[in-house]
Amino acid sequence: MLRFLGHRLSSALLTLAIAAVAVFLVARMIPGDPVMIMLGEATGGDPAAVARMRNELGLDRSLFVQFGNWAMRLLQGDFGVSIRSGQPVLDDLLLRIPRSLELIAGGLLVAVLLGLPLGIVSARNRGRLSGAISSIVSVIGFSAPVFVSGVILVVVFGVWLQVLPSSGYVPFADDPLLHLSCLVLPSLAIGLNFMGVVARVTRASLIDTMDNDYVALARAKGLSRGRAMIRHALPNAMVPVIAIVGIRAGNLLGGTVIVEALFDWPGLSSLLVSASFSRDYPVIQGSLIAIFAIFILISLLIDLAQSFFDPRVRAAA
Amino acid sequence: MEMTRRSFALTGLTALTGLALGGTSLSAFAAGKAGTLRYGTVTEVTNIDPHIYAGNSWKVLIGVLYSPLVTFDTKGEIVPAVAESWEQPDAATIVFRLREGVTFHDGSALTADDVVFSLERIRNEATGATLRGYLVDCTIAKIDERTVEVKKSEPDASLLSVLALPEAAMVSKAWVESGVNIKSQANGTGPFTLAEYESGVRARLAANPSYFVEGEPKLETVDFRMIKSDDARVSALRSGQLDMIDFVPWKDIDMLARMPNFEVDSASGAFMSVWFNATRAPFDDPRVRRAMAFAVDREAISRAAFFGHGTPIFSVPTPPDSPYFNADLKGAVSLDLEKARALLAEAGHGEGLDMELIVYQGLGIYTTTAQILQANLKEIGVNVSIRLVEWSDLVSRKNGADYDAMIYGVSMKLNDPDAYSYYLGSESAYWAKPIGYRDEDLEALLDKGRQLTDQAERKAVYAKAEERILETMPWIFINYREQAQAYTRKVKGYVHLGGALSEAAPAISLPKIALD
Repeated sequence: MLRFLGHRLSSALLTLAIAAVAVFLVARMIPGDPVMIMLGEATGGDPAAVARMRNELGLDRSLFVQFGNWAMRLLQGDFGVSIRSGQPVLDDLLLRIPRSLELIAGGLLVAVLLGLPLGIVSARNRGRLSGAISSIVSVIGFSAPVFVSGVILVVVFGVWLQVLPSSGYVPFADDPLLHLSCLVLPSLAIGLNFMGVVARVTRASLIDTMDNDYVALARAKGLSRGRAMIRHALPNAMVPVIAIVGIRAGNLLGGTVIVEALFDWPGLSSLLVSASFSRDYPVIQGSLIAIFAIFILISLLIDLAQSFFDPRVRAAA
Repeated sequence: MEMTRRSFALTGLTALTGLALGGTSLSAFAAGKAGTLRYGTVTEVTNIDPHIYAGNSWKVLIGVLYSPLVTFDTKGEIVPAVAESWEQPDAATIVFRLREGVTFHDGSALTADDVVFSLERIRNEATGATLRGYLVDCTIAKIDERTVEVKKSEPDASLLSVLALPEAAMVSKAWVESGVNIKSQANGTGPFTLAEYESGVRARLAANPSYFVEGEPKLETVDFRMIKSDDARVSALRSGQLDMIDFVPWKDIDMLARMPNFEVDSASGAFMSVWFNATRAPFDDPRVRRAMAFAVDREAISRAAFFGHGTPIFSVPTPPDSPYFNADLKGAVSLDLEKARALLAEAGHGEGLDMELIVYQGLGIYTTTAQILQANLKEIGVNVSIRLVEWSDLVSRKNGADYDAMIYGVSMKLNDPDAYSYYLGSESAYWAKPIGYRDEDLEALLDKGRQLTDQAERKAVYAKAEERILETMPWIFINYREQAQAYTRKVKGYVHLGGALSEAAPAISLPKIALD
């Protein structure tokens, strides 16, 4: 197990290093100049002012030198200072990362808590009305894009029924209850799509596992179909479900880009988006690195979970 | 055990909530201020340096945290702020007498040295201040502890209006020099203090108990939420999470106005134009620019892009209620395809020409306007290819002179017609300077207008300047866009202002707003 962990960790670090180079280059490749934007529309047209600020920010040095400086500081845990706000990027990241993780956790919770039962019901009641209905619900779930289901949620629960806040963020310390109620709709928006996937995979995998001899044996011993399914088939059917959850959990991170904008949730993705609009290089780089790190961390955790359920995964490594 | 822990937590929570509520009402009672206004604003403010313009919402925030020497009231008149009175011994000089007992939010007293320091900070090139161009040839002198003289090298009729803008904020010398991060901290003399701030996300403003205007502000707190998405801002208002929003999307103005629980105030604010790179051929030929101006169907743009909330401009953007409005120019540039084709032929482009139009992709008012312009110009043989860009790309191209033409919306900036210099004067870093545009005739007229003090004489000069602008047509003026503010009916005392003050209107009103 330890060797497996070491192997996975070193490849994760290598991925992160490659990501750092890519992140730096991508940030510089987008057209637009942070200095002109910073100086604003009013004074950005003055070449002297532009040159002065570019020098102040070190943007007049060669890309190679800039990258070297950034990478060296990054290794020491210094993410640099935002061009716009003059604040350390790390402060922003530490504030934003937990909020995005909260959203992902909320989404996962929705997906698993709703998706698993839905999948089980549609596998168990295959060929019956209740099975067909749960299949339809899961298909709708994974076919509706986040921006569609998100808007519907806002209109129905926020504007019409007014039972949940349509958008916004309140720090937990200020008002825990309001904080959680603000989390509900974005979690649903991000999780519904994934719920559909979990339900479909659970269903397929369960039906598949039910064909195994040991299930037939359990049935032959007199267990009801439902009991045999839950007791004997379900644990083994979980392996592909966990794999899918793992692969797609990273996609949840991508989904936060739309959900955070739609629900005005100030997480990591909205930081990245607003930093990109003003070409705030240190913030763009910092938040991308953080996103990569989270992505890698999630797949690492999923690998560990899988190897826990299925020793063959460990052996393969 | 589990049960006990949970009920313990619940009790604690209840106690805390009770404490917080009790605390709030107690302090509100003591200060005679009440209520929290939840305000949804359009721009994500990430830099709150009071001297560097950073969008609509920045202006509102800065306007209530800081105060200038003088300010505008809700009628648009200039009234005392940090200065209690002022004199103009000659047309180039203003002497300000400071109010006694004005303190910054950190408790220190505002002195003449702070005033000098603030204005010098704006003049200093390294600051990159928005008003630098206006104040660069000023000398600022402390006469005594309560008197400051601002003197320009030449008479300047617009000086007082410039100093009344929120961008002319007074900062504390000691505070700025102590090395604070002025981009994310605030210490002004305004009606509200910055209690909490998260860059680009939200700000909580608390009433300044020692604000120099008696009885203001009336609110205890303002929760300022920055919500860039138009739909999220409107939904938050409709679902009762906000009391007021700015920058109501044009498509929603009528919808909200019809709803019984909301008030919508709307007035002409910024105006939309096409800016030419007037030094790049063939757009360096005024006839080419004029030809296009006569081909634009402004009514169609107002209807389709602004849902009827955008008055067409058939001449120049001076508002009809301005004392400088020139009725003779009314309808000077209306739709006339014959004339447009003739002008284009005269310039040697009778067979047509191609051009690229740079358009901001984020707002329908920009993209729809561009599509109509494209169709209009096709009629006279100008083939427009539209390039959609993001705002920062647009600004970079503008500042780097990398465009044929672009659509841009700006406000008149000043209540004074000298606003034209801000954009069209050859020193304007905003538009003219980066492309190297200079029209000698216009330049002379703008200089003259600034130096005169008699309103009738000035009016005659600016009438000529406007004629010259239409003759050379560096910009095609399209229409005013209405700027609308929407709020629930329990918000009392908001006064909406149009024209040059439309952006500052919420800041001017906030100290006077109360909740029912």
